[in-house]
Amino acid sequence: MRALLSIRLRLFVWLLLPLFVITALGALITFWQAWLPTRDAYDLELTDAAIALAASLQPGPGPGELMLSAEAERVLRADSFAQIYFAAYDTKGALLVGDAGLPRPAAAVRIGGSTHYDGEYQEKPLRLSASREVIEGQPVELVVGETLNKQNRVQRRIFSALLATNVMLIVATIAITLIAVNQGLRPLTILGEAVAKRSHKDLTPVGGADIPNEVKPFVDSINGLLNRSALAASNQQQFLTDVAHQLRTPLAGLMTQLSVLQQYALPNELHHIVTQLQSSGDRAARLVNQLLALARAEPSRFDEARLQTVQLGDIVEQAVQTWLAKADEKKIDLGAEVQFVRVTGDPFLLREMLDNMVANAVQYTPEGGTVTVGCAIQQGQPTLFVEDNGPGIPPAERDRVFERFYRIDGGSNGSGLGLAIVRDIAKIHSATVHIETPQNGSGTRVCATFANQPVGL
Amino acid sequence: MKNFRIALVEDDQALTDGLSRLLRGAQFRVEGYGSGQAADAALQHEHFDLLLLDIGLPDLNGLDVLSRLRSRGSTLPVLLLTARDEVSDRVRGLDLGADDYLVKPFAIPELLARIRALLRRNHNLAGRLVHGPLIMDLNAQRAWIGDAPLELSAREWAVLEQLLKNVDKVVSKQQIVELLTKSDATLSFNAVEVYVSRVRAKLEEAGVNIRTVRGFGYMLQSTLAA
Repeated sequence: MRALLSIRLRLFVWLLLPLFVITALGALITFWQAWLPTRDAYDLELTDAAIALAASLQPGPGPGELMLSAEAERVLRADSFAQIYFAAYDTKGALLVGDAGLPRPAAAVRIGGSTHYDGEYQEKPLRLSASREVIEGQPVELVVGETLNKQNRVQRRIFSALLATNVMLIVATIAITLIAVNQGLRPLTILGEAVAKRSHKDLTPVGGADIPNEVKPFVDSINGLLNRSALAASNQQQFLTDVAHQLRTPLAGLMTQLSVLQQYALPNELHHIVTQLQSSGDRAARLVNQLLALARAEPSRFDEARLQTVQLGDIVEQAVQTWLAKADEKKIDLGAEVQFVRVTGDPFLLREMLDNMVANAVQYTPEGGTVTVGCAIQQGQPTLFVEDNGPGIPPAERDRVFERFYRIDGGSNGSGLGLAIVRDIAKIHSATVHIETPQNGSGTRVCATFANQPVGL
Repeated sequence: MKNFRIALVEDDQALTDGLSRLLRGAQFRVEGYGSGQAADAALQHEHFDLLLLDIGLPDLNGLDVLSRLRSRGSTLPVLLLTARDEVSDRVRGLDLGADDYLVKPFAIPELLARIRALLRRNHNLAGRLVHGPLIMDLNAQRAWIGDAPLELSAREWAVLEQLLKNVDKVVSKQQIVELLTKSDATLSFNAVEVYVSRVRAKLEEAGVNIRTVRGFGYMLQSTLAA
């Protein structure tokens, strides 16, 4: 039963079904408690009528015959609601007076006693009373019946009164159950919403001090799982960091040996090979730094203790210094445009971010181009930017280039991580990155704009 | 320049071998040590002008070697080589008395520039800055291009000295302003440009080129990698 997988529905069914049964039984009992005394009262009336009939009977012309005056019969039959039938029988069961065929009691009634029963006459249901009296020296059975008009009326009244109160009771019960169940399940709803709102990287424990006892074991085991996940994620990041660090020493050996090789007067072909090897080594070294930056830019590992006031101008100058040699190789005019701007951030990560922005510009700007690295207050916000006069990025691709491993030209030179790292680092610094076209109308301007930062000026 | 003696402590063989060759090529004498223990022993008895020290060594790590060295009262310039660049690592190394810090893998010109800067700081007595045909004698306050004396005003001298002390590094205009002004005076970037262009004009004929880095500053570039 898929439907019963809802706790709410389960509670409804298990609370309301028994309640309905109990309410119905209660109504039935109430009905009979209200009805039986009423029926007894009507039965007594019928007995009284039988006694009145007995009193009205007079000796008839023949021996053992009895008769009733028209006057007496009129009084007997007078009733505003029901139709009255009556009959008197002798001991042999022969009709002495009254309506023929009126149902007789199942068992004989003793003298001076009376009995009540249901019957049918002329296709009408009747309530009847039978008694036995001695009249004019002979025992006579007196039967009086009436149609059920009065009884039915009373029953209907009892029934409608019961219906009204019970419907009210049921509606109130459903409403209270609904409210109670929702109220009881509220902590679960709140917990669910809190978990649903989480980022997939947020592995901190769920729930607070207000977790109900019943849910606590479940929440505890969820938190245990989250803990293990966080530990595994942290171990993975630590592993990545360790691997990246371990790679640096052999890379340094490789690069150093290549520098040695380059000092010799090499034949052209060998010189070309050494240059290619050096460029591969450079890329591997950059990749190591990028991996470290990625690991460190993970929100779970982002360390607020590393935050400090950073002069963006210093970062810009360091980046220009770092990339000057590479820019020279492509005869690119690499320059700076520095304003006095400060932000709060992790200096290593901000450098790595700008490094990746500059690397991208130097890579995609053709020989003889211009790349400008700078910082400024743009629309009131501290901004790091790298502008080039290269081919530019079509507006349709400007968001996609920040995805990991996305490359515009499918070229193999970059790792495809650079701008993804820029975006990740920007994000944890509450900065946004975007690409625009420089004011002179061609090229690319990548901006990292810091929000919520006190602007230093 | 006299033949400085450098102790190189590094356990990666390819790196030790390559660095030794490059440093020897740059006219340094190099002693290589593959472990912290060996280096520590040698540092107690032998004279060196500079220590190139890897942090991640198998037995006694570089920071221990460094703290033992400093606890013996040595002022030997120490350049740390490390695979880690967390700020905390850097601070720890500098706190223990390292003079500079280089993260692997490094560019060889950068390494040489740092080594020279440290040696200069420690051997200021020598007081001679050389760049191609250009020679500055800091003690005598005299400069030459080849054999011809070079006349410089006090401010031109300060600019050139700063550039020569930072070969292959950009000297920012702001640095030059701070160098040339006392606390009360102010100097515009335009004035800096004037001084630099005067120095540049005087060096041009000798083929010594002061490079302008747009929006940033000036730089003397070594033509050789080593």
